[in-house]
Amino acid sequence: MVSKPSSAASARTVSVLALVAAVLVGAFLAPVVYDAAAPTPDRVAVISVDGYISSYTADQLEEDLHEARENESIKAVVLQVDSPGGSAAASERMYLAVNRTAQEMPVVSSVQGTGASGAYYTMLPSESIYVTPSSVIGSVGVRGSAPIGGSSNEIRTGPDKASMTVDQREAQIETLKHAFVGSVMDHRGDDLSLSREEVAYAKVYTGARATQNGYADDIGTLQTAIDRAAAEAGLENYEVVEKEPQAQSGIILLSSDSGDSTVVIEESPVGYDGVRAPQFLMVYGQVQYEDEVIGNVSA
Amino acid sequence: MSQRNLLGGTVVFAVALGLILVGAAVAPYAFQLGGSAPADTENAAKQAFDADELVATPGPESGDVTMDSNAEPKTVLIDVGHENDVSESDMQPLVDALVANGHQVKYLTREDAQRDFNGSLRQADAFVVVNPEQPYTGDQLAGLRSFEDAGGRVALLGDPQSAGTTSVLGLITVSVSTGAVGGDAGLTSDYGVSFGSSSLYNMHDYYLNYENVYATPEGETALTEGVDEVVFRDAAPLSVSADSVSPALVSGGETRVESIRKTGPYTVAAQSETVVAIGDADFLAPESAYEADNEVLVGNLADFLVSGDKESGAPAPATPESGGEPGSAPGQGTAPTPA
Repeated sequence: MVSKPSSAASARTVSVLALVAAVLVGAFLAPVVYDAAAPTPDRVAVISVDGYISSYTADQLEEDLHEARENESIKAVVLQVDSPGGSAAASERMYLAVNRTAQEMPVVSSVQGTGASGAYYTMLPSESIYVTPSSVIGSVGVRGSAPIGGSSNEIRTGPDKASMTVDQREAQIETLKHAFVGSVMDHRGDDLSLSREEVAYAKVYTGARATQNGYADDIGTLQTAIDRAAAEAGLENYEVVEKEPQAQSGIILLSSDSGDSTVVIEESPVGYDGVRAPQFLMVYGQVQYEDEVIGNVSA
Repeated sequence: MSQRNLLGGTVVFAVALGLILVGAAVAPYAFQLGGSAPADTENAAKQAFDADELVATPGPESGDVTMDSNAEPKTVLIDVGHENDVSESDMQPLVDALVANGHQVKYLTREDAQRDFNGSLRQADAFVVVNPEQPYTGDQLAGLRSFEDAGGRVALLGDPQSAGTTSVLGLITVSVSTGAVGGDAGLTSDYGVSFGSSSLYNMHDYYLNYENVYATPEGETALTEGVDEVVFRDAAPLSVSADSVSPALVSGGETRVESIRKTGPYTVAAQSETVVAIGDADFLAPESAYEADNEVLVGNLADFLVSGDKESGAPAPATPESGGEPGSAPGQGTAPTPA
């Protein structure tokens, strides 16, 4: 008889302790469960394409766009572009990444300053391209260094191992031009008032002119582009998430000389230390390297 | 707390924890099984490009530089004495063809030009000028004119001027028109031919690069016999005004001049009985001499150079009466001494 009250008290104690533990655990888990259960807000991702386009830039954009495609909350992408282009290979990679993304969700571009050459290539799959009157876009062309003569103090297994003929290099650059110009015509041919040959001149246009000849769709700011992207995705309430590129250091030096933009390549963006590898560039502006073969008039 | 209660609580806790952990372990596999379809394996990049449509391929380098004429052995003098922007290797196909057919090729050095220009010409049957970057003196031009009047052959080849330099063959004109030779016209204008300073290009029909323009024969000249189409890399347009000079090669109708973007066609080679003028020198180089029908053009040029029958003793030695002072272009650096 003596043990009954003690047993009841013990059972109560266990119950109380279990209740307290449940509350504590519940308090810890509740927000997680709530977040998991609550509907995720729709988002528009703003991704920057900034500065000289290198393989690093392409890595970043591919990663950001992959995340945008995988994240179900992101319904549209806006490219915030201010770049003169850069490496041809990196520019092509970025174009392909945007092209794939544009097949899954609306992509809209906003040119902040310059969206030329490789940067324009990157924007091509966009639903719309917005510019401001002072924006500079275009420069649809390719350029590359002239063949380097073979060295007499080395032994090679073939005549083209160290270099190649001018014809071969010109053919390579012409092939890249076909891809670039062809992509422009594929994506914007219906909007362009220019012929394929006129596009291949690789001219740049300021924003207002670009809206007339079809290189761009309309005058607009970044917010205009975000609004358009959201509308294309059918969003009324949405969040904007911005993805800024991480700083890149030590490879490309941008400088200004006599008012003209100058791209100085301290290390080859597609080459390697100690090796002067052929460089194919989709960049607008003055490039300092020797014996240049230009794929177009002002690529 | 009874042992029973404690045991019961422990069992419940262990079972619950076990279920949670097992669930956590299994969940990733469950997501994977029921998750994304293999759509990502689709090669979207390949769909964006058709490699067969993109690839540009260099044409074959074929043919040989041959000469048709059976002319007596002649001497061809190539000017390298006026800081000419040309190397001996750049002219190798032409030189090889001449030598293989029994002719002699000599180079006029700077020292030769200064010491006895007319004397050098006197020993030659043809004179080739490629991209001179130093002006000719009035006496030298007078001697060259006498050489041509006596039946000597003259070939003038000039690329478009590069940025920052003066038109190469224009120097010949400038040096005389400003000089002390008393109203003599310049060499090229004497022949009714002037060389443009800006490059030709064609965005519609070109060989690998927009600056490599095609040219086809105009009329019937010996220079273009057997030529259907040649490729000029970085060609200069010629302006032909004299009746004695005939256009020989003309670029395509959609060719333009880079500086003013005016649409052609443009004359890029012209010929008279004694003079050939070509607005390109690169076609002579081994890298270009075997593209299209360039090798036929090189052979025809070789034939032209040995086609003359120059009077012996011409040109006569320069005399004070013949022109005296050397003409010099303003700002053109050191002028050579009179011949």
